[in-house]
Amino acid sequence: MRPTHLHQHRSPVACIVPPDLLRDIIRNGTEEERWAAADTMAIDTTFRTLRAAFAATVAATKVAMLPMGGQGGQPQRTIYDQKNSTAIALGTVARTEGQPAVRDAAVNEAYDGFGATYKFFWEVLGRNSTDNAGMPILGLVHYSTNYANAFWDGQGHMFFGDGDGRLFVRLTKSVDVIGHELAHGVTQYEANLVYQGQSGALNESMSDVFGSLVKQYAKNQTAKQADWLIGKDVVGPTLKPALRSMKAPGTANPYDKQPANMDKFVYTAADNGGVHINSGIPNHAFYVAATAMGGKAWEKAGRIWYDSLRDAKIRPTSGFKAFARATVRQAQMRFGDTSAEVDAVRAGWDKAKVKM
Amino acid sequence: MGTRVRLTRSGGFAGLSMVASVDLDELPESEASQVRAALSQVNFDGHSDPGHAAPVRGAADTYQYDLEVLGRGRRSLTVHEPIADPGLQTLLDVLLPRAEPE
Ligand SMILES: [Zn+2]
Repeated sequence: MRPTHLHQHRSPVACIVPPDLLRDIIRNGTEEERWAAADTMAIDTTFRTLRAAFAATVAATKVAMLPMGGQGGQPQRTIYDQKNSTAIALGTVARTEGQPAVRDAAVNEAYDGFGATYKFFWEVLGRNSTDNAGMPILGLVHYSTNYANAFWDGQGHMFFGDGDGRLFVRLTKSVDVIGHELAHGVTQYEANLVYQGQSGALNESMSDVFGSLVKQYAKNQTAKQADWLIGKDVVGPTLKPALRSMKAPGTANPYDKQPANMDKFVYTAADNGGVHINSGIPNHAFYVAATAMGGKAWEKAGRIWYDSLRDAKIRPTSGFKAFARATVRQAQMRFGDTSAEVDAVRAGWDKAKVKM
Repeated sequence: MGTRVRLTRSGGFAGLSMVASVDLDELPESEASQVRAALSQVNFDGHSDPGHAAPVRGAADTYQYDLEVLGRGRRSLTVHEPIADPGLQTLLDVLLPRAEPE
């Protein structure tokens, strides 16, 4: 867990050290090496931007008064009303942590959805919020007009539109969408998978996996009971009955082009190289592995996938093969080399035709 | 010879491609002039650097827009939201209502 004395004096590692190596040091080095590396990474523009963005947010919302990165177990949520503006600056504060429900359904849905997502990451994976250090959870609802989308801005904010009534209805209506968006933040703080091509599709798949698990955990469903659909409660008439299916990629709606295995991998310039298309491949591997293991999907398969996202060998540019290997390695470490769990993980990637 | 404008919005949480392809000669004159005016404001050169062509680092599920204009020669650009170019925003406002899922 990140200590609160973030700016204590330490000597940064020389700047020529590649970011990937720094990430490895942060994960696996001694305490002193880790913080030196973390300081060096802070020099990176993105992290500087992130810190600046958070500092501004904190100042604006007085979240600074709240304990940060303490014992964990308590989310720090703030929901903002963007009032249909396309401005990306924080709108009017609509509900803060601990406040009772308000009249606006989107505000309450976001608040509750973030609550369920925080609870999942904390209770199941021992993770304290997006950055594992109690980071405030900031949701911006009523973004733009007829906006049929939700996104993570890379700087700690999750935007939700009201939908266009055609592709989507209000995007906050489903906890798997909310979990999906917050999971993008988790991925950014862990493997930081580049949002393009295979690493981007893997990034997308992590969000579908955790989004689906947040929903299954909230409903206390077994892998067998779960429908493994994404966005079932938010699709409009065009995308009915659901947005994506982890069980049967490519069958969720008439426009679903997701492949279920590598033979059908889609090469395209659209969608950052088909990140929402090819995510069907690792999505299906997870479904197969989780159902083969039986029980609740978050107990074993979810834990293996999470450990793999944090595996030091997973780099920002890692693809399916590297991730598949990481899941086998993590399953072996947690459950034993010849365990049924390892077999299930292998079966998943085998079904998805991802060669290791 | 007319000018053909093709706009593809892809990505987003849905990852669905929405395509609008219009020939300016076939549009009602008021809309055609709106598109022409917007096109004249779009800075194609300004969007040619990778900083605009890729999403903000760490961001996910934002829309990707691919614009192609065929007339005297071919001009194209790729941008990710948030859109900073007002000319481009006007163009999106006119064309997106005509977009259909691909
Ligand atoms: Zn996503």
